[in-house]
Amino acid sequence: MSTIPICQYDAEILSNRQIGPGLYWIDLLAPEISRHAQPGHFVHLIASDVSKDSSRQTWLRHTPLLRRPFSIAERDPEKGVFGLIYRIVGGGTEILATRREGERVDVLGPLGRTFEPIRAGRPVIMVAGGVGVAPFLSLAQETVRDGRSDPAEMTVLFGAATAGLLSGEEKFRQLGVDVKLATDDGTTGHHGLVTDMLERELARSPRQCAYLYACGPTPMMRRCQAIAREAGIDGQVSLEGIMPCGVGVCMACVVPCVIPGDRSSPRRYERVCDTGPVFDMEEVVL
Amino acid sequence: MKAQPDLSVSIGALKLRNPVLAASGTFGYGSEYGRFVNLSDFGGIVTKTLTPEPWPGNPPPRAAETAAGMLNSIGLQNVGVEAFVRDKMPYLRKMDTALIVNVGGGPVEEFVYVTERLSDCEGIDALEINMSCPNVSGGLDFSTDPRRAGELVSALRSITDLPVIAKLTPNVTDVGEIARSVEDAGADAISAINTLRGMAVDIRTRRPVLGAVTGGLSGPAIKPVAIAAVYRIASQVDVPVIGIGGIMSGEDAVEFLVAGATAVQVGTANFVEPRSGASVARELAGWCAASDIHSVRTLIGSMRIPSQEDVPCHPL
Repeated sequence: MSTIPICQYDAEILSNRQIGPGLYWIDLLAPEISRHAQPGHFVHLIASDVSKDSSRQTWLRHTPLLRRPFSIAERDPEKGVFGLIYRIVGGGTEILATRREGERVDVLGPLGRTFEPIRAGRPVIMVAGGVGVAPFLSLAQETVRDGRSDPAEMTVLFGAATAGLLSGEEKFRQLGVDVKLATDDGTTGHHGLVTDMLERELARSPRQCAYLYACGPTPMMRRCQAIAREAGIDGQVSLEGIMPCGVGVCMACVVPCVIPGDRSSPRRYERVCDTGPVFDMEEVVL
Repeated sequence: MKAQPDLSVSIGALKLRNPVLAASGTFGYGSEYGRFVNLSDFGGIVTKTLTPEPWPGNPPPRAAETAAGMLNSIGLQNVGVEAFVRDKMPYLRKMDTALIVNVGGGPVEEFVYVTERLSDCEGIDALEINMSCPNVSGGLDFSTDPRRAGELVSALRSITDLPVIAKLTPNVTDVGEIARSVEDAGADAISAINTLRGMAVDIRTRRPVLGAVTGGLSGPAIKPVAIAAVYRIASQVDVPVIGIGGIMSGEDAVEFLVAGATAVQVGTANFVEPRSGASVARELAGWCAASDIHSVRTLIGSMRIPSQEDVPCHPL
């Protein structure tokens, strides 16, 4: 359980714009959350406008009912702002995409366990699949901002179905971080899986990676686990889950975990929201 | 300026500052929400069901959103009674609100074990018996059979001085019959309802959405079922009824009280709005003040059923 204070904010939407097919970026004003958030943290938000028209029945204002979790992709603590990337996948994100600048969103955060920081002299690779890129934007940005490591020691391998879904790529380049792209349809970069690119990178220059981060679809992360194991590299994965509470009470968003390094140890269910969303690569059974 | 309405109620010997409790399974062990929610806004907290040993729970996925509600199949994952007493009670004991500990198990002996372990533990105000979990094997057995329901309650009644609250399922033909049985067995109060058994199917994969295939339905969708159950139970027993099911507002709470509940529990709403305890209690107070009601106790069971002569529709 993290010691960072959890805040609930009626955050103002500063912008909510489409950045790709079905892909959006939203900036929210929530100074306390922005100040305390670390790379890997997420927020739990209510997509619908619950502040408007309070005479409507409470349950009607809360449709859909549950909050939705999103990784923090960027923050500007001086302005009190943080940004999220989301793709329309269901009722919650569909409503979120209709929300306008100046309206308010109920946000809870920052939540969850954060990434192991990147350190100078320990080069890393971040493997991102689709909107799984969000926490790595934050990780790269904060690492460079704090001068904790040289951008040249970070490589991002970013894969998606098609070129239009690789939005955010330019932010890494602006930081001086090397980004290699992969698309399923070959519209840009490597035509194929981002994990194939990871294997190639590791084969070509094994010392370019002392630590591996992965966030994306489960098959992608499972493959990253296998590749990391094979190469003897430690790392972390960031997971998502169906998360009713987001703070560790409901026990719904669990994943099976083992003792790292002992895959035959008895499995136990750990909460993605509270023990995670960041897990040690070898701890979680995907 | 009108005087603040009196929100205090009693569940037998247990005095509550207001009738709004946090429902078991939706509020962990208090400390999780206690990081940013004022727990004394609640009349009381009901902790997650405890079993004798730590319990792993059901395979994921364990939750799915549905129309105005959600399905869950947690399967009672919990730390076990020993770890609860050792690690969770020190925090809960300091909390400035009533503490009701929810007790579960498989066979009667397991309920007995947990109840005995908790009975000599200082700081607990009442026990709620989870005899109606739809998500574990045999979980519904006790509260779907009046005889077994009575047996379980009397076994626990005889070994503890704490108030015993029986939590019932709506998945029966007549919940009133089960209620009479647990009252006869010595239950001090009845809480109703637990979740309703439900299921969702992923039509793309043709698999059940939940790892455990079926789950329990909660949220605003089940409120009418809960109101009917509370109304039925209150008509059949003299012990207080604690209404649970889809409460998100003060007006929802009023509805339960009028139907016969003495107190209510807020469950799923905590996930949506962690400060639901405060908002429901505040709205309840506001509603009473606006309606010239000085004490919420006057609302309990105040339902007006129209007599047959008042019904304006005549048979053809």
